[in-house]
Amino acid sequence: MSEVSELMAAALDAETSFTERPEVVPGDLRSSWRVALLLMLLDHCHGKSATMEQVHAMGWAMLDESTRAAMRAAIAGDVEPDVVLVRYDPAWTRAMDLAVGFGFAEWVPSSGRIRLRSTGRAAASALGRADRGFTAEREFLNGLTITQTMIDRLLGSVS
Amino acid sequence: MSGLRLRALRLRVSTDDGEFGADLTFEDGLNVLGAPNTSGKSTCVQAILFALGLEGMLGPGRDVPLPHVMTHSLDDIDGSERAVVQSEVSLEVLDGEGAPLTIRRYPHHPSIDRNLVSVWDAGHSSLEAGDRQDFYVRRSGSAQREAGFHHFLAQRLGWDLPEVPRFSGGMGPLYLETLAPLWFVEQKRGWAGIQAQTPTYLQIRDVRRRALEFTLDLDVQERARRIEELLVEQRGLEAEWASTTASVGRSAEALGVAVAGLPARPTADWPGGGARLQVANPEGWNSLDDELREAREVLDQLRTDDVTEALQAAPAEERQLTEMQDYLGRLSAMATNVARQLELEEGTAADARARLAAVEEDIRRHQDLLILQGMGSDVAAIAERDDCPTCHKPLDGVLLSPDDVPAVLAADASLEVLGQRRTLLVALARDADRVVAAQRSRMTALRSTASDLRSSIRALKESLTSPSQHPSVAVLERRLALGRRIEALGALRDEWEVALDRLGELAGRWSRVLAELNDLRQSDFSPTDRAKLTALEDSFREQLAEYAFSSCPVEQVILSLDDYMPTHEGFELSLDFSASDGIRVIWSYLLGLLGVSQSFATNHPGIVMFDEPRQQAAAEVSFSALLHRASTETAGGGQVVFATSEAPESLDRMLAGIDAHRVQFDGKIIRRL
Repeated sequence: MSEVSELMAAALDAETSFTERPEVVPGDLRSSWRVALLLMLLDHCHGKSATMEQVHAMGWAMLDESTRAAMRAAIAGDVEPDVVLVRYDPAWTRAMDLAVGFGFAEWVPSSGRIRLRSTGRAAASALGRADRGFTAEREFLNGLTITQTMIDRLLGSVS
Repeated sequence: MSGLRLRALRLRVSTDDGEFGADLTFEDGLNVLGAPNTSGKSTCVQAILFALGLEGMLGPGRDVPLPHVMTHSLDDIDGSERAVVQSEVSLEVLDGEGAPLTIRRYPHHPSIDRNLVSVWDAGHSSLEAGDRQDFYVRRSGSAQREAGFHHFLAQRLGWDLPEVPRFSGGMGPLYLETLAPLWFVEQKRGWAGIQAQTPTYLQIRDVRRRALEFTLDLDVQERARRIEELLVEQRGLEAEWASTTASVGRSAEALGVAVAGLPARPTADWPGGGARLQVANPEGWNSLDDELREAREVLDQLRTDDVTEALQAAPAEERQLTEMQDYLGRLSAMATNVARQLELEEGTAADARARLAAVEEDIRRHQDLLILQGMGSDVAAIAERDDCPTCHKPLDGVLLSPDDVPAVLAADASLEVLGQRRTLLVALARDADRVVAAQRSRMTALRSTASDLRSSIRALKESLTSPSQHPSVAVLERRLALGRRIEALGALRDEWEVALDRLGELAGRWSRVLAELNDLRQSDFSPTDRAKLTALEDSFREQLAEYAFSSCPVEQVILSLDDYMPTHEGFELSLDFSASDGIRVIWSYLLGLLGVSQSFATNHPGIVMFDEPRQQAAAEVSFSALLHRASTETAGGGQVVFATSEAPESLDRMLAGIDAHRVQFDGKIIRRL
């Protein structure tokens, strides 16, 4: 048997294992990015707390320039009737659970609201003070105080 | 010289039952205002901020930043409530030249707007003798116009406020509100970090760094200004390049000519070779010169032919007519084919652009992630944990369902991959654009050839039916059309030459701008800047040691040359440490800035005010060291004002042997007069 054939035989007999090649996961699905944004969002909510509805509505709006523009128009009362203002994004639900799990926020008993805890506030205020990063999102949030009344008005529910 | 010294603060409150008020005086050096909690100490500090029109540093709101006692009601000595009818804040200061100024503003007045500021060139005692000037504040133009109070104040402090870049792309003044957090710390939120209250709503880019560079009067400001100027010039060159190429592109497309080899953006590599015009014809592409030459030859030939000879043999003409009609049919089929390809390529270009926008957004998010890590933010730690702290299912730093979590590439490696994707998509989009432009030219050429052919067919039909002695309409028509075409292509060639000259000139300017930008970006701090920053770093470290800072070895703390913030092992200092060490960091940094202003020419006002500097209960020993340092730091000039609720007896102990101007109140500071 030639040397090459021996090598081939050895290679064929050897046990083969495969390692999964790492993938690029979109930035908005990275937990620290999304949780940081959640903390900044809660920091801009009245009482540093928000309902799930607020998080999903404003969270969806914050993710993209077109949705940010749509939300700005909606807040100014100038939205096209067929523009989607809120979508359910399971990543926001997971981000809220993680923020609570890591002690940045807490669920307010029997109100369905999520509220910043002191570590979350400190992290949010550090992010708010930073000159870099989250520029578009910070610009969108600046000067905005998000309340449930505002969300109700935007989503057209009359209570 | 620049500077500001407080001399006296006068508060007056008129109620429905008599006059109330307070008078405080300040001296050069260390001033300690001691009073119990809720006695009105912060009211005095905030009144100083209000008199200077600086409440905008606390936020964009328009409310008066003063408590109820100055705006609504106050409690009399017997506990009964008195309604405020009118209130007044009057602050006496010395300006940059040491001349007295009295500044008056009404927090609450039945008829005078609270944004009106009256100023006298005199102290409180000689107000009648001084001239009064009125200004406005907290309105647009307050920092720029003659009638704006901050324009006036900056002048009197000896400051020439620089124009700085804004997020919107333009330039605007570096407002006084952005500078105040370097010498004024407010009790409620000021102790969260160095420059914690720098207003970001004013939309100034890199606002903290700009404020520090101005306050320290660093030479790098000039470098930053020049870089900004060059970036503006770069944008202008890009726009002019784009409009020049677009204009010649439009003229070319109208004639079925494609522009090839012309870069979409300015380039230093000019002429670089390869920029040319190509003329589309049904069979393929021809250079503009060849096309012109061939067209002229055909025209010359047509001119030498006898226009009536062509009609001698009608059967040949009829055959020619059939051939032309067949050719027209083929042209129509070609046009349909090109239209389909054009649609396909336009789709490819639009798709590449949409994907490019998504990749750019994702790149930005990954950069955010790296910034989070760089800041040492607690949030960044989430990514480092493999499982959920509650249910312990695998996370791997992503928000996907646990069943779908793939092997995740790290953020920095992802950025690299995304960068490669971006490069590819940019190339794809550009290439698709180039093909689209060429297909459009081809389409125009096909249409134009078809239109000429239709005219020729009409003319030929006319010739065939006209008496034989008449000149051939077909030949005449052909001559005219060719003449027009040669003229139009000639004009395009002239326009092309002019555009190439213009682009050459733009490329020259572009390469000069790039070279200067490159030099500026590589240039270092000037020796004076280095000396100032070293002095700040030395003073900062020295004070940390004096105040018993313990979170990390003091000698390992260095000032970042990127944003001048103290860092430890590459992380911003104040974010990691205990609350009390966080306070020590702020004390050391702000007093360090004051110290630098004593030895170098800076734009520091020479004053530092701390409202409740023991807010988070740093140990008494460090507070005592702070008082000592403040006193020595101002020995050669300058002023430090502390407002504290520290008990009088412990203040006595801490101030023993320290030269300080002490004002102590036992009860309410604002009292019945």
